[in-house]
Amino acid sequence: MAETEIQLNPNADSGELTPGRSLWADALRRLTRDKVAMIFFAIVMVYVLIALVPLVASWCGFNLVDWWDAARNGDFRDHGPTLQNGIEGILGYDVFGRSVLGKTILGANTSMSVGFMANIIAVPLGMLLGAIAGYYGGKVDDFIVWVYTTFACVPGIILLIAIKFAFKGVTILGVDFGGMPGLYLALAVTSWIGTCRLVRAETMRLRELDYVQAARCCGRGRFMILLKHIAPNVMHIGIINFSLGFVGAIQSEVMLSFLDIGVPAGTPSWGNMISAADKDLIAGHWWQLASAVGAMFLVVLAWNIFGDRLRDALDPKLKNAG
Amino acid sequence: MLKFILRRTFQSLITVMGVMALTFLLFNIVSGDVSSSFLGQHATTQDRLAFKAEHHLDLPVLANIHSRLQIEDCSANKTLQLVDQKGGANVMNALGLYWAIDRTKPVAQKFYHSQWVSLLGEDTHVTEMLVEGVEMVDKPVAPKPEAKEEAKAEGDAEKDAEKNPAPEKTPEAKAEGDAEKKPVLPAEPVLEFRLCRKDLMPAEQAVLDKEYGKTEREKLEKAIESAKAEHAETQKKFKAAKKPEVQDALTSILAKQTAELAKQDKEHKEMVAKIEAGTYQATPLTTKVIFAIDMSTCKTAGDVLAAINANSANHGRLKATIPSRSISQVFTGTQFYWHLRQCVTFSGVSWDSKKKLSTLIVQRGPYSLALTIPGLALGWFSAMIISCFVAYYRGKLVDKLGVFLSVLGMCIPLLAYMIAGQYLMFHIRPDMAYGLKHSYNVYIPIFIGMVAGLGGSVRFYRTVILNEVNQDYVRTARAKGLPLPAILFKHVLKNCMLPIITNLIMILPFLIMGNLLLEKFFGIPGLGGLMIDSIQKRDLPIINTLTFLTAVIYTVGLLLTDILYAVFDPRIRLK
Repeated sequence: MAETEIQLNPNADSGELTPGRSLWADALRRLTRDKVAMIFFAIVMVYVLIALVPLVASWCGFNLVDWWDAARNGDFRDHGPTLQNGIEGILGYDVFGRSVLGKTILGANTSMSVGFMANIIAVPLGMLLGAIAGYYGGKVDDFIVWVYTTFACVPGIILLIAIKFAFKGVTILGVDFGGMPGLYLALAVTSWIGTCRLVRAETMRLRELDYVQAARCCGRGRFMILLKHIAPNVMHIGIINFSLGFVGAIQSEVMLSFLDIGVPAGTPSWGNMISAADKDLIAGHWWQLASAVGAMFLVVLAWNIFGDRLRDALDPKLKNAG
Repeated sequence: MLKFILRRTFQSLITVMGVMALTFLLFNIVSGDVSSSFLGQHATTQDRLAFKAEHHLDLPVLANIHSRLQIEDCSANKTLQLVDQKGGANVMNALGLYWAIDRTKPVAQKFYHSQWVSLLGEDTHVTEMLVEGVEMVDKPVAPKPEAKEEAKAEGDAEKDAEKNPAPEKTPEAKAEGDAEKKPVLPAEPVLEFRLCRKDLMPAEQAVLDKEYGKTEREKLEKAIESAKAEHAETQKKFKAAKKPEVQDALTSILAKQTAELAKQDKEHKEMVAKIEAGTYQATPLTTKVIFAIDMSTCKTAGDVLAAINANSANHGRLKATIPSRSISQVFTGTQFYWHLRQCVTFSGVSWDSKKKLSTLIVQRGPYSLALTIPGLALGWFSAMIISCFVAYYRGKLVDKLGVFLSVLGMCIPLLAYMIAGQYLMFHIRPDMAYGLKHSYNVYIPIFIGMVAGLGGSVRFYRTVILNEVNQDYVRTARAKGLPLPAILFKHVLKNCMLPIITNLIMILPFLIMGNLLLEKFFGIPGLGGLMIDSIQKRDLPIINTLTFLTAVIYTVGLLLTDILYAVFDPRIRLK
């Protein structure tokens, strides 16, 4: 195993031993050497940058969505891809004469924020509960297992729709859960279970390992063991699930938008575009569907492949098994 | 083994309970008032209250631990009318006694609570009520005349059959109220106990009829006069008008007014005849306020009691007491109890279509199954073949291409497949693109679902198969000289069946729910579509019972999986 190797530092003349690379540095090295992973990571980063543009603009007091919405081209309603208006029209126009290219680019912000926010809630939640359940065992474990089995009993999509509907018009502490926050929360609530399950199993395995026993013998408190010795060793599960959950969240957003309960109407998002395309396509207006699916396809593909490579890098045992 | 099964069954029960609690939390608590979201924003308070009462939504949510007020009606030589304790949950419940939801039914013993809690203190829940015989009204609110007439008609019918003053209550006492009908909310609510005509002595009634007959007659006469004046004015206008279209318009108004006048005249004649014959019954249900309690001074249930009992105008007619708290109602008098009961007994009746859930399942279930079972079988079968094929050429071009294609397939959203598939069908066979005009239309969504799921399952099964290929026994078989196809299909497949079958069993319970998206998109009337529609309409009985059903099948499936594991894999012991 690479992490147990102690390498000679070639630059050191004295020939003294340098400490070995850490687990994380090792994984990072594996990942950066993987060309495919880096290519797809670059694609993901491009999307992230595109998604950040409206955010940065709004910090500067400029609302890109409004600007795009206002720049309607009345003569080009439902017009197909054209080169007449320069770059604006290369993906065509929607019903209101708004640029589909603009819509697709702004949609990246929605999709990325949905993926990010849902997972930033779900993954830490799953990890925390999983680690607590796995480490403490007993009643605590029973309770947490009960909670996630309960959630798993309800088909995911039904739970998603149900939560989104339940949040309709609910405002807690000034946060309107009928809109985007509700969407983040609904996606998070349905996706923490997988992380929790995996982390729990891994924690149960780690708990019995010698180094944890040793820490316990030294008189370390239970919480500190969990924090210092177990958490770093289950962290990779969280990172992997974050990258894979991203894909799930993006796809769920599309599904919910199709059912008119996802992103609020009027917000440019790929889900809303695909949902609108349902009616458009019969009239032969294929460009909205094509651009949304294309944009989504690329980012999902990139996340999928990058996530797989990330898993291979972080969890080399899995690769050997597969 | 038996011990294991028993323990797991117990766990399943707890899990199912958890699912019920989850749906209850989501739909009854988080999402706010059920009645207003089901009936719509513009439903009247009365409708909403009746709806709540009918579906037990007026009870306390989780625990019914509020002190209960009991009122005995000691009026006019009659035996004590005890307040119904069974349904009663709280002070106002007890005050409310009975609530006739549907006035055609004799008595329905249902109650509500409302914002009055804040008024009466933490210890109590409050409901609005109308006691038939003793009516309680929120003072600033004028009772609706049409409601009164209804009540009167009903009251008259009941009078002969039932000598006891049956209680009833006014929904007008609802503090939240309709904005348009009650623009000013009472700052200091007052409970009014009114005497109903039902409780009147015959002599009193005669006086009432005479008194009210007079005022009503005057009122009617005044109305007739003003109508006549209006009629005359319109006639004048008609004569003055030159243009034919104005005249036309006026003619119709005139005709209306004449008809109105004739009607009022007829009414008047009848009324006069009745009053002269002494048979006239006055319209108002209530005559005078026996007594009123200013609720703003009542902070607790005890204060309400004292206010009722000590009221000088009461004359011992009503006696209010708080009996000891009843333990039996702590759980059974709650919304959650009714929620569970509805699911467990499977007695849900759709609020929307008024159909029984079991009927709906029998009606719609087959459509869902017709979609999901062939879809699953075909998808599974083709995924197995492809993944075996791909695994056979491991590391070669075919494998790489297969994995690449399956990743590509995974990356396209199901919706895009559906939209594109439907679009294609519109061009090939428009009648097959939507709905179930032909029974074979169902193959389109089946095919689309299968193709959409293929990518993911091929990748999953390939991993499972490759996992086995690395095992020692495969190496042994190869060393022995067995050809690779024989190893793959004879030995490997057999060994990796366990995770695959487990995976399948886990999917099975969800088959009955159908594929929500495909059903909705292709207009197949299955259970998935029903579920989405019910969630959208907040049709709680359907949502709750369907979720319950899925949860039960799922937990049973989990148990079966574990047992099957032990049966087929001798290495696994259940403990």
